[in-house]
Amino acid sequence: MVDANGPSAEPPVSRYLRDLQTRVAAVHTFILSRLQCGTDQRAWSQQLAAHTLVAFVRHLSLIRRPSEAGKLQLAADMAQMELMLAPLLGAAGTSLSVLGAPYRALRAFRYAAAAAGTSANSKRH
Amino acid sequence: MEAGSTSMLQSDLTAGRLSEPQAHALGVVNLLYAFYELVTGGTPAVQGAPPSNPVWTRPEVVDALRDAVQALRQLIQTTVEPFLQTAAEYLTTAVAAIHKDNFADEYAVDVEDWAVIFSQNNELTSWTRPSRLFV
Repeated sequence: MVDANGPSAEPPVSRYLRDLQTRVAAVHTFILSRLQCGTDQRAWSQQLAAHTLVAFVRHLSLIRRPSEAGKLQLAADMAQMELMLAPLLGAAGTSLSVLGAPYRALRAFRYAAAAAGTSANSKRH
Repeated sequence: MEAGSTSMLQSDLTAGRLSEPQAHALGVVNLLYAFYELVTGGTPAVQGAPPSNPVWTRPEVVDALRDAVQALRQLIQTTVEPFLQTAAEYLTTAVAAIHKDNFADEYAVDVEDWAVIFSQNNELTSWTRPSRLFV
């Protein structure tokens, strides 16, 4: 992948995550920010964020034998996913940590992708 | 929002706008919610607060208020649910962009049988109807 800003320590986020970011912004701008429904709105934002996280982690969990570059890309995307959902939840007066299991799954997967992949590869070869 | 208009809403979200009926539907949700707050916040029988006026303790009044609150909740749910469901599908579609081609490019991974795995996984991650709303 080519970084338009030149070489950098952090890999840029992937195409699909940029697409997702645009869509999260659209949902926030055109649906959630137009609703004024107190705590219900908070629950709706949490459900949407949890749904997105669960779908994301499930898809990532299908990755097999990522390269070192792939692992870095994964880490960058997972970090960006957190940054992307935080404003959506913050606007509703809540946060990622409130999501419980879906958020813990994402955090756990970050460590698993970085650590477990290495041992699996070393066993395989 | 009429049934079957979720794909239209997805298109509108992609285009960066909402149609006038969709914007009105969201306005209706706000109106219903404001009314709901008025009813539940202003009536001791619904609040559970000690009634200052004995009329609130009459069984027929309590029953009517509960029915009204229930109906309002149902109306809000019916109106907002298509929006939430479409939003969830819209976001899932973006996540689902981890398809075989760009997935291999982005992460340089082995993606044999990817199409089969992906289709199964996509079914798993499809939006379950938000029955948990309003519980």
